[in-house]
Formats: sequence, structure tokens, C-alpha cells
Amino acid sequence: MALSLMGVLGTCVYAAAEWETGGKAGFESNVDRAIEGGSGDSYFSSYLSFFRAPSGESRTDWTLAATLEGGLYARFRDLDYLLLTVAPGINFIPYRTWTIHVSPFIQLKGVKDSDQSSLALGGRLSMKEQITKDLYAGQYYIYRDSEAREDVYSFTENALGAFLGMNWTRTFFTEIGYEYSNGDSFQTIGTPSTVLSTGRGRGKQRRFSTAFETVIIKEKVDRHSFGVSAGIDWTQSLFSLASYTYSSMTGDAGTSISHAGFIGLGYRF
Amino acid sequence: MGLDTEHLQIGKAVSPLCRGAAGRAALLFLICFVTSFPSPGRAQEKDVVLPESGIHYPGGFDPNTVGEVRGTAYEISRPSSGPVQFRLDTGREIYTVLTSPGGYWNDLGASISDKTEVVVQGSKSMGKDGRLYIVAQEVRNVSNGQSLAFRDEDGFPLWKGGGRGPGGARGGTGSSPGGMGGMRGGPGGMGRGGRR
Repeated sequence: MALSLMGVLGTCVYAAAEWETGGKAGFESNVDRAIEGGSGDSYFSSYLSFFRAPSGESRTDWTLAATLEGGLYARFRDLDYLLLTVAPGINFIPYRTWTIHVSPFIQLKGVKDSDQSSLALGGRLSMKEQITKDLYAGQYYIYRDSEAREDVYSFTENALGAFLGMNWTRTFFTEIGYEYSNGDSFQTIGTPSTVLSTGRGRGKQRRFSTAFETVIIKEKVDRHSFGVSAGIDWTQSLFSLASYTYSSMTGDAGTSISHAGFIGLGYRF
Repeated sequence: MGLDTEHLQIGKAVSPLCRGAAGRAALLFLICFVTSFPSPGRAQEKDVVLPESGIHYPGGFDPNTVGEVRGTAYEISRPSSGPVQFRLDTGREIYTVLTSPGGYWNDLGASISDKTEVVVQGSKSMGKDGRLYIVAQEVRNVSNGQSLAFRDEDGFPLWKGGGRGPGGARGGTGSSPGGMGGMRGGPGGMGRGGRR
């Protein structure tokens, strides 16, 4: 055991450790996860990340990703947040075109609406295949257990996803992805009066949210997300990324739809 | 427009995980963990310098010195770390050919052994030991036509993969906003770095 651990740790000599910082401006059409309508909002976030990426020089290597991110919302200021994520991992290359990565992670999230502040523990198992020199695909599974200050915001989820990416040139890529997730989520079902009249969310854990100024419930949902991303490396250090995601989340109370996107600028050093 | 950190109450969470000593210990551990990372100055050290030649590996590829040589391979060496290498006798000069890590070499099914006639395309340089080196881009076995690609047209090592995107993690059923922080999606996601 000790020898195998030394073997893994001993491969660090060629590792690519780097820092990254950046900012992104985004929009989400349904931040309150309303079943009907929904409130949109835009946000700006910035982050600082440290990565210890696998070198590719050995079949087994360890990785580390740590990110500190802060975000500010334009309208729903109670959603302003600080997020710290730390994710060590092991990378395994069974074959030159096939990579497997497993990574537990811990996330600490502080939200201005402290009811939503949370501690999440989870893990991610992912694979990536290099199909041709420029075309690649990947699949992943994520388990996450997040405990928030108010239980209506706590959730456990299991997510399965797949993506397909293409390096069109040395500096430009696009990627499409799909993710299915099953787990708990809060959903907005309306004002107290409409909740009473429609009977929505009856029997569910419910709470009046001061952040959204409406009644929310927590229930089991199925979520389907489709996304596209595109990125450009302007220089070896400077890059930008744009992403759009459509999500549909369905529970007993109904379905909420969300359109989300962002553009970001990052700098590696 | 600064973030109102007085209202960010990670430590005030009510759930057992967030409230107790375990939560505070986890936070302290994370802070120590993050602050113990190497400084940005060290982050530049992505190559090693091969001891005899002084050539940087795997980054020591210079597109300006790319050429092609034909000769006979011998003394194939597979060190425990660093590139598989062999000598190449062209009749006029002796080169040391630097290829790829052993795992990648195996996966290619390389059929090169002593006395195999090969054509090597790569970046030529003179080592500090006075010997000629080629950082191989492609090696072709003349007898059976097998072509082994080690680097792309820009000299980027093919064993490092080519994916650069966020690679999934499109949010979660839980807290908003979705995603896992940062720009590129999932924590510890693989495929980062791609061609750089």
C-alpha cells in the first residue's frame, strides 16, 4: 500500500501545476426555479484556481484542483456567494486514448441568504476518450450530498453526463454535453395565496424564502441539461470561454425550465 | 459593490455537518491546504532537464530545427521515468532519438528493435554532452511501414491528450448557481490543459 502510494506520488516530477484566475458574466432565466414563469437574473463572478494536472508521463498520477470563487447577482442580491472547492484525485491512463479520473471533493459555500450556506461532500468519476487527433468524448458520474443551513436547500444528487468536444484549430474548441441528474431540489411554487388555491406542494417540505420572496418546496426531481461551450486561447495564458445550458427539472409539483449562459475570460500563470 | 461577507455565514449553518466542530475543522483544514500550495513561480516548472543532454523534456521541441533522418536503430533504452530512446546510426552521424513515455510507446505497439531501419522526423539539437539528439515527432519503420506518431505538427506531445473544454458538470439539482466553481466545470476535471 505504502509502496503504491509512493509510486503515485513519485510521478510528480513532470506535473503541470498552475494557477488560473478569471471572471465571468452570466445570465440565468429562472434563478428561483419557478414552475411557472420564473425570475431571471445576471451575475458576475471571479475565481482563483490552483490545478495540479496529470502529466501524461505515467499511467497513474495524482491531481488536485482548488477553487475560490465569489459571485454577485444584479437583482437577487441575497444569492451573492463565496464558494471554496477542493478536489484531490487520481488519474489513470489504461490506454493512450483513454483516461479515467476519480476525485472526491468538498465544497464550502457561503451565501448572503445564510439559509442557503452549505457544506457539500461528493465524488466524481469520469472517463475521456480521444477519438481522433482532434475529437474527444467523455462520460462522468457525480455524487453530491449538500447540507445547507435550512434543510429545504439541502440536497443529495446523482448525476450522469456525457460530452463531445472538437479542437477545430490549435486555439479554438467547441463542446456539447448532456447531463441527467436525479436528486432533491427546491422549487418555487408561487405566492402563499396561490399555493393555497392550487394545492401545489401539498405534503412537501415547504418554506417561505426571503431571498425569492415566495414559497419554495423541496422534492425529488429529475433534471435534463443540454449544453454547448466554445473556447478560444488568445495566448498561452489568456483564454475565453462561452457556455449555454438548457435545463428542464421535473418533480411532482411540476416542471421548471432554465436557460443559463456565461462568457468568461481567464488567465493562467 | 463588494460582497457583504458579514452575511456569509458558513460557520452558522445549522445542520450537523455545517455547525459543529467537524465543520470548523474542515474549514481550517481547507484554509491550511490552500495556503500550502506552491507559489506561482514554481508553477512554471513543467519540464525536466534530462541529465546527460540538458534537453528539456517533454517541452524541448523546437519547430525551427525539424528535419528528417534515416538510419539504423540500436540500443533501445526504456528508463523508469522519462522518454524511451534509442540510437540512430545514419552512416555519417549518430543521433539519440527521444520519443515518449514507456506506456505510450507500448500502446503504440512499436515494433522497433536493434538493427531496424527507420526514418525519424523531429526536432534536432546538440546536447550539452556534445551528442546529437532528435526529439521525435514521428518514427517510421521502413521494413513494415509502421508509423509511430509522438507529437503533432506543432510538437505538442500526443500522450498528453487534446481535450480542453469544461468536460461536463452542468450544474446540480441543488443550490444555485450551478456548476462546480471556476471556469472549467468539474473539480479535478481531466483533459484540462490540452494543447498548450
